[in-house]
Amino acid sequence: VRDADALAADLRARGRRVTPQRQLIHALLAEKPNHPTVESVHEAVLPAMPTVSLRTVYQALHDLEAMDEIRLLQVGNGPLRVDTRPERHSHLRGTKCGRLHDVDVDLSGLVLPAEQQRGFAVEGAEVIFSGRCPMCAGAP
Amino acid sequence: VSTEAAAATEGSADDDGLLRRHGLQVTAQRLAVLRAVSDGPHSTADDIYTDVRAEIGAISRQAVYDALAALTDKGLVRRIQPAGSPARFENRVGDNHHHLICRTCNRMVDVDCAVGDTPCLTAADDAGYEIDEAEVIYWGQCPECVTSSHQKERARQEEDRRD
Repeated sequence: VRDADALAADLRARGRRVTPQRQLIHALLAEKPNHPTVESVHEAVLPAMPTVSLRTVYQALHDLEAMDEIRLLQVGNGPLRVDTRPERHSHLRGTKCGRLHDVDVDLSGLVLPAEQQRGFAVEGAEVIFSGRCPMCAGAP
Repeated sequence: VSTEAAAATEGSADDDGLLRRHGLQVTAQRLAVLRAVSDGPHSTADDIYTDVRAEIGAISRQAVYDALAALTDKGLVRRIQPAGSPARFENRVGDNHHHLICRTCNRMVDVDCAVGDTPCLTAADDAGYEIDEAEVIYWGQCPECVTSSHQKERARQEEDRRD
């Protein structure tokens, strides 16, 4: 997540308005631990701006995603979450609880053979690991 | 009974059995959702909702989502959830294949797994998880979007020359 001035310049360049709501959401994302749910972003906005609706938060997040500032992602049937690391990276997902972590994977061995590329210009890959987290595995 | 009608009946009888074997009650909604997923691999939940409505008429979006969740939980349907793109559904569940996605138009195609076993990769630090699946998503641009971005680039250069 970049600083507020860079964001404001980018919003203007894209013909979108720089509103206090958008600036607040952006600032909150910079502070929050990664992968907050959209609902929790909304809850964090409310003390400062009680009239901001969940819909406004979704709209602001979709705009930030279109600007490659964040990505929205979901795990299983779980809630929609915000990923503040916009570059492609791999994740570990808890299938039972919906927890989400960033994870490092050595992708150097992962080369898609030319005959499998189907004419695509392949730029990279990410891996999504899923399974039961230690807490869910230990639960009865 | 025409051959076509017989084939259609047979197809749905197979699906009936499939649902039962997985402990799911057979409902018209689940059958229609299963068929929509099999007819349109990599469809989003909204695509499936549109297809199912066209086939069986009145059904709520929530009922389609619920049916998809039930089919996914039982492993009859696989949900693919790349970051920054809506979830897609497919019924090719028997093998450990992966996906290639166009970052411009979101088109998704299947690619084979070089390893074949599940999970085919390991994480440097698995944080204590019992990992049962490693899903690889390759990103890039599809042939059509590569062509159109080249065309746009040429048009821009053309315009620059005129200025």
